[in-house]
Amino acid sequence: MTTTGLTLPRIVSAEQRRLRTLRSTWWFATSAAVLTVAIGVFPAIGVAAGALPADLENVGPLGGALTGLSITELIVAAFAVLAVTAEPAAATFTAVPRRASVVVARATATGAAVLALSLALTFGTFAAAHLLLSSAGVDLPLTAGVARSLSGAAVYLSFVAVLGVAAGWLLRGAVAAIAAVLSVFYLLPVVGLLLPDAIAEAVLPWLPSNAAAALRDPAPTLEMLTPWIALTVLAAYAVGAVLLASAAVRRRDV
Amino acid sequence: MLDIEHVTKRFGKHTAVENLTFGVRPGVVTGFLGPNGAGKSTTMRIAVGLTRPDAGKILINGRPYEKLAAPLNEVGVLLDARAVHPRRSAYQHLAVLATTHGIPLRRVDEVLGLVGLSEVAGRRPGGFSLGMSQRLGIAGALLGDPGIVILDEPVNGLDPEGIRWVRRLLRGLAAEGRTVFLSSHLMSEMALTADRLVIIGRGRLVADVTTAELTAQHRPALRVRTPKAVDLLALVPGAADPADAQLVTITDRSAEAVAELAARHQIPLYELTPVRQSLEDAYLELTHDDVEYTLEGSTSR
Repeated sequence: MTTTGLTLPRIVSAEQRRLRTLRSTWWFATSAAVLTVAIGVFPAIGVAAGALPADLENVGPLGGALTGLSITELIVAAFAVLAVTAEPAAATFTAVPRRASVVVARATATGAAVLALSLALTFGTFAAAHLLLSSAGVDLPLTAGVARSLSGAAVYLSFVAVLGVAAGWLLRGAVAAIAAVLSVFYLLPVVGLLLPDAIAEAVLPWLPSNAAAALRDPAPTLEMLTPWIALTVLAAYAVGAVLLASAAVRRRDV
Repeated sequence: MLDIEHVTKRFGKHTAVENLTFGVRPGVVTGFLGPNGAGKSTTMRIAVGLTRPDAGKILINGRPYEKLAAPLNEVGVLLDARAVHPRRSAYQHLAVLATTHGIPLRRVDEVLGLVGLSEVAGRRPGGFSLGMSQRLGIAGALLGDPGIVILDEPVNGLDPEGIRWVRRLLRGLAAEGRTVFLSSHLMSEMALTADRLVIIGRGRLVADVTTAELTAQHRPALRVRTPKAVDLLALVPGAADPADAQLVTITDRSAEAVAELAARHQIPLYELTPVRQSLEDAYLELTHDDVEYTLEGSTSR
């Protein structure tokens, strides 16, 4: 018999159980799935129904599969923030007094769950769009760039989840934390535009929102980071956010 | 074994716990008593690492809580029975805790049976009564079969039968050689459950005694009214009332003994009343100066 005691894999496994044993998790997953697919197949339906011309001119190389992404992003942000703010901390930290392990484990469990669902959703929506378009005689090929784009969108959603978990720990209130996560993607780019051109050109591509765009855009522009650098940048932001949250959680009273 | 060593904790200007030192030994039930706001919960939260002390430390078997390799197997804690996710079933709540330590899930069924919650294991604690929540909290505390049990107001919200059940459970745990430390603001409850009492008021240690010692210190007394108070006090130990020349308080004598003695010496008695100074009185006397609110205070607001 193995001895009982705290290990990081066990803590991660407990965090996964924590997620799957709440009905709200499955409601989040269901609503993310329904909205992502329903909005994502809309352009392809337009082509299949003859409302749009029968080519990829209007729907793009992804067949419009990522149209619903900004809605998915909101659902993911809310889910990840609530995974922290709705859980009473005292019981968690008496079982696992190594608080940083809890922060890391919850970010891992939440990020991994979102990544798995998102991959299924982006590729699933693309497959649905592919079927719809082929019914209209339009071929929607799964090129390497398209595959990278669909995976990149899933990675991006997973990144939103990790930021949401970190913001939940840092700010403790659900509303403040969700607002903070959305600010990173909607407010920071706007602030960036106010910078002088020379500085903006150097800074803007490195913002989380633009790094994410570089990952999920099927045809990245020249001023964007290359996908691998963008992936590294997002990973660095995620690690930084989790470290910051760990430091804050370790320092304060529960 | 739990060692509280010179612990001080301040919240802003308010000192919750001040230079508190005492030990909690295995094999007996130790009651932690004090009025509301005396610092009982703060001390317990410091013991399990939820609150950081400004000075001093609390050691669990010689080590700080954060350093334990398997906290649930060494210390079982119930702090706030309502602090569980209201929509995760009782079973899964315990299963999450068990998973962090690799405790087999059959132990979850065991503790649910032990606290009598097997039938509602699949239900959400959000709909539980306070008593059921307390039982779930106790189940969580026993999950890792720990040698030390720390319970903050465990009988809160329990019905009389539940209170007796907790009492038996805790005495059983102590009899098995475990360290049992529980807080309460009710002396009457502690007198029945605890072997030892640690009493605090305003964060400071007021008394650290066995329940028997405290009972012995505060024996029942007799209130006697007689015109020959001086004659009576020459025969028995006691004290005259400074305000009433006819009134004396006699200690260490039974009512029968005093009545017979008075008859033999032809001392008329107008009144002979046993005054039971209960443990409750003793406790209130000890902590009187330390309660945060008084009736006088409430009128001046």
